[in-house]
Amino acid sequence: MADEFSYVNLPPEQLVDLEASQLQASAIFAPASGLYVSQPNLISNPTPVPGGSAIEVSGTGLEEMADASYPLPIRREEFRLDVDGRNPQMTASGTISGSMASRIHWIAKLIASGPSKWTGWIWYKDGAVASFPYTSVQIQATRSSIPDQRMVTAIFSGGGAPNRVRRLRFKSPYFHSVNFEFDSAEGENPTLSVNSHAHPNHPASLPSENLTIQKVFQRAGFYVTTSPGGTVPVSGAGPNARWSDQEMHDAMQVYWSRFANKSQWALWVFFASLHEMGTGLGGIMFDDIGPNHRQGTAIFNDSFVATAPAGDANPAAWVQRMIFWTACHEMGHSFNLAHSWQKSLGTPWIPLADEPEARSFMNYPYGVSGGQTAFFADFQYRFTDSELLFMRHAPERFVQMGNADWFDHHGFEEANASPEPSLKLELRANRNVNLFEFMEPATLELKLTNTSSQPCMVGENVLSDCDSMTVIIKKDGKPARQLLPYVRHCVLPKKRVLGPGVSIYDSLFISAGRNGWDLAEPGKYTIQVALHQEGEDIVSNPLSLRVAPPRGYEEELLAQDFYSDDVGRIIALDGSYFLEKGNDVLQKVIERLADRRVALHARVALGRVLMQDYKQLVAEAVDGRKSVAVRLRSAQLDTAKQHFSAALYDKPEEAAVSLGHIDYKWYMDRISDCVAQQGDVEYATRMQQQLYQVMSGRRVNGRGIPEGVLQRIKERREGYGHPAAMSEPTRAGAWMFEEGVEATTLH
Amino acid sequence: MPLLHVAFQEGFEADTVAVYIDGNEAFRKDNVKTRLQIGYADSFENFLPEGSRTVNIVVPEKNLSQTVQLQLTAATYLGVSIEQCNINCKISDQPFGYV
Repeated sequence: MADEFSYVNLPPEQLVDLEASQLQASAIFAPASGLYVSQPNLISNPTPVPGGSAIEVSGTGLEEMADASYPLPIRREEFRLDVDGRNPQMTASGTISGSMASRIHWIAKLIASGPSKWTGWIWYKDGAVASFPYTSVQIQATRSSIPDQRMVTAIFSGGGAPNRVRRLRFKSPYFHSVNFEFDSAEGENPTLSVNSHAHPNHPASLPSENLTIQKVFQRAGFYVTTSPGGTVPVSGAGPNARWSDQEMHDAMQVYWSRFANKSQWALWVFFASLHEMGTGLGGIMFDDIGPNHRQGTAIFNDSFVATAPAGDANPAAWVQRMIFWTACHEMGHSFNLAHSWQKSLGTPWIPLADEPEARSFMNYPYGVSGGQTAFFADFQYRFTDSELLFMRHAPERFVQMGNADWFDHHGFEEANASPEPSLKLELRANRNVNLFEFMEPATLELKLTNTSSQPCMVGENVLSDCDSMTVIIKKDGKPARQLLPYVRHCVLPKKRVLGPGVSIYDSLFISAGRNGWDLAEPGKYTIQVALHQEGEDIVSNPLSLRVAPPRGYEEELLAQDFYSDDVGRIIALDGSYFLEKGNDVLQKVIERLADRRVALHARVALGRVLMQDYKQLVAEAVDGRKSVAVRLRSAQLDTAKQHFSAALYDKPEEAAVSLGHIDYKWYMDRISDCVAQQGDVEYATRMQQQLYQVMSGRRVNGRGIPEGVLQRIKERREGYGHPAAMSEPTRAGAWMFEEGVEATTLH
Repeated sequence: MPLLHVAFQEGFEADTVAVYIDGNEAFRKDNVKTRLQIGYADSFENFLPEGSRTVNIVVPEKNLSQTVQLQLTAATYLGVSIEQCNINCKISDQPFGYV
């Protein structure tokens, strides 16, 4: 499909709507926007070329720069430049395809920096982003009235990597290609065009033209082809002659010439009389059925969209326009566009703003202020900029029909990220292979580094304040979910200085929250965090991890009780007396799955509440009257120590891996402090000694524990002989783990 | 007797919904869920005597409740949505349309 829409192959009807002078344009005025592709002959050697430029960039007018040492075996590179033509988004985006696992997608916001030159900062990356550290791109276009002579040269820089230079040849003025097939039920006519001035209520600036559906989507950036349409027997709708979603899905499979159970840039559009919901449903993107969503959409000619308002000046034109609008609206859903007022819902990657007043195909005309009269008075037969940005530049899998599930990653907007970010956020697991056992609660580690040369202020709780953080968890093949932590902390905002090169750390429990268990089923997950700091979004790397399948029947059986809200809360909150059912489940886990990592977490949760006196609010009847009282449950230190010995002491390496370094140290500190206060200084000292041994021996992907952390463990151990020197352990570990990046090469 | 049509529209996430009209339960259903592509979850309608009617919508799992006072003289369409942890109602004398 991708090769079908090379500029030289465009049929005449596709050229009609290109910028008027595109074919005859002089070199100076020829548009630069469109799709560019890599030139394989210029990238003959995919291996790094030390100290040299892999391609020729002389004559571009840009400063010649060394090519990056680029590790991926490049097969194909696409580059989309969107700076002129209809509704330009001043955006460039690209897809670099190596293997499926190494595909990279990037998007940059551009500003003009000279004639046919643009510079931009890369605000979005997707895929194997570790191989693509660049933060900026400089672009120069070589315009020409001869398409084959059009080129762009792109120089990627920043991110600590050598510059990467790519020269790409023009392929098409469109960004993607798509095929439509318009079929109709017996007796129904498809509405595929409208005269923009047929109805008197239209914007004064709207050109008079015969607008087709194909042209609407061409203007959105698509090379549109149309398969021959056909007739669908109304018997497919059953005896009531009204179509259910399933009946339409069945008809799609039979009558759509391109139907396939796979993702493809192709869409079936069906015109029928009525849906089984009746006249209240004007159209529907019915295909949220089966594994490949968004392939089919329907418009109902006899629904409310066929009834013009009483007294309308031209009812026939009103109806034709409304059906045309409905068709484009439903087709927009197939491109994974949400309604204008729903943009913030579901799982957009970066939170979107609702656009309830937008004059877009995706808004209800009768839903805006002033109703449909006000809507059509301003309607330019287009999608909004944020919708065009999504359709033209989002990763293909979010937009392409049959790919991402309906409403999964629907649209996105630019993260409010700085072009020169001073902070870098890393998300990682404290293990060499990101594999979690079935039922093993997952705790990750966040690392925030000041990568600038100047000190900067950050919130003291920036890594533990869930209100300033968005955590997205996406299981392969499932919609993304946002983690909603059980607890929100209300703290007085305090700032601290983060020096140049200094990092802070914190742990992040991601398995469960108010959404339920986000990380439970076996399979592959991707997790990404956006930190909202002083009006700026700092987006982490996407972290891939896998949850292993259960080892046996016992695990499967216990999992049914384990994945409950009670257990999620107990694990997240380090224990509870109140949630007794959950405690019972954890006790069973300890007894039946003693050798599994989940038992370690169960012991920590059960032990923590026994470690110190516990206040519990209880309802009781006193003299026949209901009242509440605070009851104190005494600590059961011996039982707590048994749990902690089994969880933390007997298999310390296992505990450090499964709990994560930060939480493992925190638990060890809490327990050793507690027993030291009870007078067992020897036990406390032994715990800190073991903590030191474990932490000093830890290496994760070549990284060790910062020396400053090890030093503080020593100080705590030695402080047990001198109580005045002891300090309260810090839960977050954020500042405790503070360490100058430049001071160590180990983390 | 005029028609009262109650449509559950945006913001329902597999919720249990109950509607009381003048204190009597007129509708109760589990798993009411908005289909985002049409902004519609469910609906019911009753013919009621003309006059003042008190409609109380309850979403117990979300601890949400809203009471609407209607003066029924002709067909009335009540659209109910959950938005920002509130039940919002809109009243129309025309049927709702969805696309």
